[in-house]
Amino acid sequence: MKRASLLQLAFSDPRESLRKTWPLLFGLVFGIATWVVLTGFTHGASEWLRERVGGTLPNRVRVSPSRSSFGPLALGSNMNEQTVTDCKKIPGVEAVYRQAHYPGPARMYAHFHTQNMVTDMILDGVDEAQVAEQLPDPSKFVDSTTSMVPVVIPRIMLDVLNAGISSHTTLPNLSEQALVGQVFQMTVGVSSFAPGEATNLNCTIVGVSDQLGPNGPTVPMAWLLRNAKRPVEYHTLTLKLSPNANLDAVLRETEKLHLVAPDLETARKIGQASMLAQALAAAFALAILLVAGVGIASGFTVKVQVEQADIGLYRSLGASRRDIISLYLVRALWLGIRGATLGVILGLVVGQVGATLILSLLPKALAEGVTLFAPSFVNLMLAMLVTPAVPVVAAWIPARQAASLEPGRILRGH
Amino acid sequence: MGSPLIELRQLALKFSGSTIFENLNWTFEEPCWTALMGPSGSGKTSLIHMIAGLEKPTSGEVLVLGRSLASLNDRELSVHRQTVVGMAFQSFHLQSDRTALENMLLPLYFSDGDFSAGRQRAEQLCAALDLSAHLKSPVRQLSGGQRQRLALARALMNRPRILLADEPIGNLDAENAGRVLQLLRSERERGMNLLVVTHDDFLLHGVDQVLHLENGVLA
Repeated sequence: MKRASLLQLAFSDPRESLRKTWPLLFGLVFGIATWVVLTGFTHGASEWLRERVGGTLPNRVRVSPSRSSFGPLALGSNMNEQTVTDCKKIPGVEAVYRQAHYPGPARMYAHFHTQNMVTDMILDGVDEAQVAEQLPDPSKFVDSTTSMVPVVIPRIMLDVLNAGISSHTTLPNLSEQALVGQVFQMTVGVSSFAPGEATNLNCTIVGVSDQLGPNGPTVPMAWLLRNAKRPVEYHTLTLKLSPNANLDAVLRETEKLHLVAPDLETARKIGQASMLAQALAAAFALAILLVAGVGIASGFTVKVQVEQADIGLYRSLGASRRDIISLYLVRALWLGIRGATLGVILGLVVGQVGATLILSLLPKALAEGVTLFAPSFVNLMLAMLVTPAVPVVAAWIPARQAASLEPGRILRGH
Repeated sequence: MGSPLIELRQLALKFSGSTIFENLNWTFEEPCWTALMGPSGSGKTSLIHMIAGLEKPTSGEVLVLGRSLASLNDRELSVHRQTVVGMAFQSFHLQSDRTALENMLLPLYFSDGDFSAGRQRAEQLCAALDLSAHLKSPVRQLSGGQRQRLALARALMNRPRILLADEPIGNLDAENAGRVLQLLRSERERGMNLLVVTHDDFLLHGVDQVLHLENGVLA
């Protein structure tokens, strides 16, 4: 009850108004806003990068054969149906999706905004279920014997093409909406450096997927297996895991099959780099908060000097030394809470405005759906918890000095 | 003979080598309305500060209601200032940014008092001292006389057992001095003990005893 009275006294102190405490608040607000902006951008950028590498669908791991090469000598295993069967037996694996290159050359002829494009390419095949979740109409990505072959474009290929388009041409960027339904021609069995018997195909784009890795246009696996002139070897398997699967245990099992998960490893490295960058950002912000803390300590020392008459008055009215310490610490805590709140709000606003500005400078197709500024909940909570502690710690010694003043002496002096 | 209220035993006060008083012995008995007079610098203010536990004597001890203040810890001294004594300072010690009412309620924050009852008490005291119109005015807008009455009203807020007032009518005209005297009388009738430092003979009306502190002697 008495604590509540002291809180009320501290909060009702006219000297604690925002206008009068602004010089002490400034450092806190600046420090915490810096924290929110830097960690928000670091976290947002790393999440974006991780999605670009690993895809947006959860509980999926892409594995490929572990290989080591020394000049022309390559050592490593290939993946075939036996590998698929072995992977399906791993506890926690719900399904295994295969991905393979067409065993032969291919060539693409496309027309885009008055521009013709001819390019050699690698044609990929994939199990339909691997990309079905990301297609506008999954029923269109199935093998059929008609002359029109459904094709899915890897998201990363779109990014690369758009980067080239943006840098070197005035053409509009490619987007999923613009591509779906477009038709292009393809020949398989022949390329500019490999003459041979060609089969002409008409292809229709049925969607874009981030589940295909850095590969070429992708057709249904059934079509690829039916039309391949040579045996097909899978270059990537995507393991769909059950929600409660133990990822580390699954990876240990895949390792026994001489399989590696390069995307996961890259994602982990991105995560580590992100953690390091966030730690550096937090350290920078903490340095600012430390300087702010020194300023607050000085500010509170001055407050104690200036408010000696009030301290004497409070003691004469029945305040104990502990009450005086509590009063100053509550005022410091109140300062910290306001600093944290204002700092977080300012950081979120600055971060959001900054991200919007940056994204407005990027090509629309690249910027679409990108969250560049993504402050994590943990970081915001840390900021809200750490910041109020700064002035409380800084005010501790001045508060004790205030409590140790002899009331009679200071009242006599005023 | 009443019971001992305040006992001064071998009390001495020295400031940087000069002796203000020493070997001061006196017992104030209950009920008590005492006027303490004496020339400036004789140690009157220091004496009531010692009784309030705000200053420590150079030697000797002060007992209030039979307890030596030197034996009280910080917490007990706080309770002593909350409930046993009420101090009205010569220089008021009001917080100028707060209103008159907020200043009067200050003691309640430390004694865990009932604020709604405290507001009623503040209104009664202000009515008695002709301050009702200024209850919500910031102290910086009040005149010297209004501040002096407000300081006295604040000292009475917690209904202390002993009121220690330092020159409570020093800035007042006759009409307001009369109001103060009337209030002190009514508090006295309700059982409050009063120890008033004054230079003004006006306050001597109705007191039980007048003490003079001069040249280190209390008589």
